[in-house]
Amino acid sequence: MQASPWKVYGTELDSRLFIGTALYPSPQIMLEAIQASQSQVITISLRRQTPTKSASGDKFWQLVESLGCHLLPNTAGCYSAPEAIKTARMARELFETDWIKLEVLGDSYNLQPDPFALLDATKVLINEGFKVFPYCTDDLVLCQKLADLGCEVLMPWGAPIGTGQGLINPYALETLRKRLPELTLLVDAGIGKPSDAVQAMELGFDGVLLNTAVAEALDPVKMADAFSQAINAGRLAYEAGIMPKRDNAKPSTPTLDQPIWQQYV
Amino acid sequence: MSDISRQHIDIVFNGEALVVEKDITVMDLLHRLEVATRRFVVVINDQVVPKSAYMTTQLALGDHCDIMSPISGG
Repeated sequence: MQASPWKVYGTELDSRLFIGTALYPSPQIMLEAIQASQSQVITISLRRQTPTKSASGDKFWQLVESLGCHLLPNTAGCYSAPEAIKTARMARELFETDWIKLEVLGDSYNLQPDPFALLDATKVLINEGFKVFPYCTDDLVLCQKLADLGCEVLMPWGAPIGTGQGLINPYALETLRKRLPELTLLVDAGIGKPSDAVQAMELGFDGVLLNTAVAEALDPVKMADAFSQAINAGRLAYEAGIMPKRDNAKPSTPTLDQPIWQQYV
Repeated sequence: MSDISRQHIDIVFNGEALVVEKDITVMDLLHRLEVATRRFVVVINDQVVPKSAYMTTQLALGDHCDIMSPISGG
């Protein structure tokens, strides 16, 4: 059974997994892993190109095109709002999309987003018609302010990028889900294994964005399939309604018509 | 000033110094550099140059010109 389709800035999607295109052992494995993930949205970036090296760049683009996925360009590596804004404008021209995964980093050690610069950049880009997917921390007030600026989608971190530590603050993520029920929420970064993704989906997150956990697996193609199944399972569980936890045990086998002598065992 | 220096200007292309003909257009520069990729964007002094303006946009002394291309990203 497949979880229900969903919409991201008006685009209907079946898969709830966004996947990155970096760090794979080879372009071919990237291709096969993304296909195995069944993802319909892939993240991509841009850099200065040296024309003499154009051949390899073009091969990468041909692979990306062959996947037929929606592109979500990022502003990875930007440490200020003006830098991220400029990169976003270039990405819009290059990839012909208004979608932008807005990364404005504030710390080079843990790659933590700079919440203040993120808000500044978001304001400018939304005014220019961008559909902003902000990579943010799990801070409730920051997320509320991003929503107030017009973000329909928020992507709080589970843990710092590339650490694979899973959801280090499930309480904060659960709070976001409860307090911002109308927003589309994806956990972005920090996912290490499929059970981390299941946890995010069971919390009611709409999707998961990941890269390293698949690309650096011993078998990226198999891991991509595992994440695809995990995310679907987590979403199905959320839609089905998870039973509440109880303090006391409750028998699952009916006790009616049980022989009287067994009641004293 | 020599004839050559009058006819040429210094720009910065992809972070490196480059001498080009005075009044060279973006389109001429792309031909000169033999840029063969299908997917790229030209940026001059941090401003994106629309494809429709490649023929008419001229480079000036000291311009910073970059060609940006797709790369993998997470």
